[in-house]
Amino acid sequence: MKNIFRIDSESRLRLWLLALTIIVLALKLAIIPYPWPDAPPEECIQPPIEGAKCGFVFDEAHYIPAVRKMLAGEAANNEHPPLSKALMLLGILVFGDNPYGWRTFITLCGAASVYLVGMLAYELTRSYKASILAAILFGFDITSFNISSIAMLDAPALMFSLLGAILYLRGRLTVSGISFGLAMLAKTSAPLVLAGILVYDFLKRGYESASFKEALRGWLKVIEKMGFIAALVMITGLGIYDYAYGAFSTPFEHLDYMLTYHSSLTFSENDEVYLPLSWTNPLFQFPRRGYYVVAVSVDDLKTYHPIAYYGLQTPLWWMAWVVFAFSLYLAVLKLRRGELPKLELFLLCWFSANYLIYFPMAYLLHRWVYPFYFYMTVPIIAIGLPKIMEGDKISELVLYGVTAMQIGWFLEFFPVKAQWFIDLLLLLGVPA
Amino acid sequence: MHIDRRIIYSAAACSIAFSYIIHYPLFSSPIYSDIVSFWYRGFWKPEIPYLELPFEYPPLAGFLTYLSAVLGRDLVAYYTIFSLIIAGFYFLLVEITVRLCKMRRVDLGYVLVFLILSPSILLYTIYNFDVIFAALLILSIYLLMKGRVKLSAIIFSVTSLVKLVNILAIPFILEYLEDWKDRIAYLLLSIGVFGAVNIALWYANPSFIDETYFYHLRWGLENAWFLVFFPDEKTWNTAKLFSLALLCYGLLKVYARECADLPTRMFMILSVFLLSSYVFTPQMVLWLLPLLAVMGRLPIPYFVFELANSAIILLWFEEPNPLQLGALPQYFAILRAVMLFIILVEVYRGVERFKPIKVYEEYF
Repeated sequence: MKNIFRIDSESRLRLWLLALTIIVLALKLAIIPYPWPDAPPEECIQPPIEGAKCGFVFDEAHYIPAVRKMLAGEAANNEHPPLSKALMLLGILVFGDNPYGWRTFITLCGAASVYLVGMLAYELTRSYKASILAAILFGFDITSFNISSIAMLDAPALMFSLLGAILYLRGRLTVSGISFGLAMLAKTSAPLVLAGILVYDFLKRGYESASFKEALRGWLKVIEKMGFIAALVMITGLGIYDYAYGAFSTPFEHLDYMLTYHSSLTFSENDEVYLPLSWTNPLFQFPRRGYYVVAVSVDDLKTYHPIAYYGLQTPLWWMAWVVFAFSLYLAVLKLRRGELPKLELFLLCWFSANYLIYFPMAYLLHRWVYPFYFYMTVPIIAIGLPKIMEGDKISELVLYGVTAMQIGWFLEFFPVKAQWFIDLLLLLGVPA
Repeated sequence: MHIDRRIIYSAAACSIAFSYIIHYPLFSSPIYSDIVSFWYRGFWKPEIPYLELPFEYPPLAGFLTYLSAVLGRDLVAYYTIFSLIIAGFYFLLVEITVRLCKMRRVDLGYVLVFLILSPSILLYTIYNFDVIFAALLILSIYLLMKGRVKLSAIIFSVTSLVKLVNILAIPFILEYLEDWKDRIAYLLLSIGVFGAVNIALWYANPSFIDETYFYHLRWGLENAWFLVFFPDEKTWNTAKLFSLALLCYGLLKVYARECADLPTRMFMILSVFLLSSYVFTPQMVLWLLPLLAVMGRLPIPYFVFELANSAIILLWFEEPNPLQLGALPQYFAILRAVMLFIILVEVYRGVERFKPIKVYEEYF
């Protein structure tokens, strides 16, 4: 019996990751029809759009109407790249204009990311335990689960970014570049992941090479194979979209439109903005954000939420600064020993490029930021935490404690609850 | 055929005279020259550049223009004096290029082809400050190769007072110098002279920096090959970011390349700048010609490159909007960029054939 659970080879790790992915996928697929729209699609294209009536969760209210316009041959939502929306469009063509159509392919991307987080962890740590725990921590991160279960742009972007990162670590630079290109075609924040990896590569080469020039030469080759290919894929994708919909005369003009749009999204003093520190600080958290919440009150005696998609901090998010600080500390220790801190460097670069970057953007440039942007950083916290805590008994206890909390959080805030589960939670005195 | 200095200078004199004639402002249909247009912008009064008259070229360029205007007083005299100043720098350019060719045992036929007979020389010598820039730049390279580090740095700094582009080469020159003291001295001197003059003018006129340097940031795409990607003027801010990214990448590629000597590196730096810049006016090609001569290579695409570069000005006034994609000069600008790119790749890939040359005193 013990042997069944033992992970002692890469193939067994893959098997376990696959099993975990299937569990997460099953949970995602099970909740796809909730909420289901009451209004016909044609009433949910032009603003004002009533999210509840149309069955839209959170930013689906932007993307599904845009996809419907695209289905009618009209260019829409050009401020965002088209790949994620193309996946929604494909879903609608296959499953119809309903939540299955909108969410199925996004959900698949979200579930695949769980497997990819495990594999990325393995590429970085070569630890089976850390890899499986990374996948669990990420897979049961409730905010990430929610974001990647609804028709938003983030799940495909992260999936292709993770795939690109794994391929990069395996030295398959051109294919990695293609993957990053697809990620960039899915969401405009994906270039940040690529930038983080390129910085990592530069620092790694700087440490390993005999001279600066040698490092630079190697790095430029990586830029050419990954960066240029990614840019080419993105530009080609935009070009196809622009040609098909007659949106812009060249994909570069489309790029300009996106850049201009995104740099214009600034907030003013009176706006309520949840700045990046509130995403990870457990003491001063951003308020839990209801993406779609249905409340049921029974005779004023009890209230529960059969459907409640939330964006909120999770125990894993609280560990962000722990992972950052330990990575920094361990990197210094390793450098002093004359050793390249590969994992720590990778973590720090990813963390900086995908999370710290929002500090100057928000605090100095006053660019609008949202807590769900942290979705792109969650994988690296999930990878870093088990590896940092691995080996020492007390640390491992803490790690298991965090993992248990993470799963507990997942169950408590699971977006669609069956009646028996609600009753169970209420019986236990836990809000449902 | 044996080519010596006498042939070179005789031909050079004819070449500059030809350039003088084709731009002569009182003829019925002279070929456009920036020099003549400066006159009508306020130098005819004459107003003092940077203080009374905004001028988008660095201080030495403005000073020479003002000097010509003050001494000339009328258009023809101004044009003639300006032409004489340019001619002086042109002969300096020829002389230094000849010396560098001799130093590198390169046939003087290359000087004849690139610096005297090329269409760009004929069309764009009495045109703008580019010959002055090229002459000073090649002089500073020559002095550096002779080991006259400090003098080279001062000339380099003066070069920046004509056109700012050469500052891109500072990291490459610092790498060329082996001694740290030389590096520090070069850095200080190359920035110092330029800095002192600019600070003085900035003090005299606080809007000087904006009117002279930042002016160029507001300028649009002019003869840049990537106009194909950004035909709409509204998207040119992104085009400029694209231009900057290209420049950084190109310069890093050149920096990472081993085995290139100073003139070859300078050629690659300037070519990268021209290919990535959002403004590539045809007279800028003059920067490359002495370096091509010194490198002793005559690439086949060079002839098409020259044809395209000449066609830009010859067809400029045949179009209602020559800057627009679809106008003939822009097609030639794209053709020119393709040819320059081919030449650059050829040079880049062939640098191993050139042994690094530092100081070869024995040739003098």
